[in-house]
Amino acid sequence: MKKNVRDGKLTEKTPMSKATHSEKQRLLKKMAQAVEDARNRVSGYSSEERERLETFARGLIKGVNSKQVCGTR
Amino acid sequence: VSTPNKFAALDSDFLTALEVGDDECEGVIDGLRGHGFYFIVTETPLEELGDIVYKEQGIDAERCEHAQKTILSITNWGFLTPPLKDIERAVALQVADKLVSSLMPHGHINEGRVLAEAAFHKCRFLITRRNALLKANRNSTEVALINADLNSVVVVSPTDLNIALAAIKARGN
Repeated sequence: MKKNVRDGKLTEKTPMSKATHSEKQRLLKKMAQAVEDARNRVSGYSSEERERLETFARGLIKGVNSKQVCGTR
Repeated sequence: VSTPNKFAALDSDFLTALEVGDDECEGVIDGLRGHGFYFIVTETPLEELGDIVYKEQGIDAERCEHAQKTILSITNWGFLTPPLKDIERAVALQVADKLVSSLMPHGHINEGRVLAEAAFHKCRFLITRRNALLKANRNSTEVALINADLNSVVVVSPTDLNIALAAIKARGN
């Protein structure tokens, strides 16, 4: 993974890169629908609800970041 | 060390496709990185991905799991998630409202928001597969953003961007 980060190449880092073509297509379709559904829902949310979701997502990202920092110490 | 000055915003549909291993999306990232681009995930895609994780929990484990993996991969992919200031969010919402009501008759407010947020972050591209954004009149959209004192953003699909990148490569630039 580190080699890929240095090279600036993403391809081998994608978790599902090695999945079969049909499996990828099925998941692509399913996740595209999931995003569409989420867009419809979130568009109707209040600013407080949206803020809560953003904080939730940023919390997950922050968790990954702190793990990476700890790992380098 | 040069300061990053070329940014591209990535939409939620692009991010989930990237996590699933979509070749077009991977090609876009590798191609634009070669041209010195950095990638930004703005508030709206984060909210949408967060909503899938939150709302699909216990309903559809696969949707929930992949949305969560997508969020967790943002750091691993080296994408940036800079937050907008409160005032910028408020202005982005107003701009989004105008964009959707005048240029995207079948669009949701989130389509306008993702574009306004990309403009606030000075992104040159917004890479998306959202039809409402891709079908909106490009000139009118750019003029509307400039009229709101924001940068113009080129809204482009991964397919079209890959074609453009391949053409640049073929010319040897």
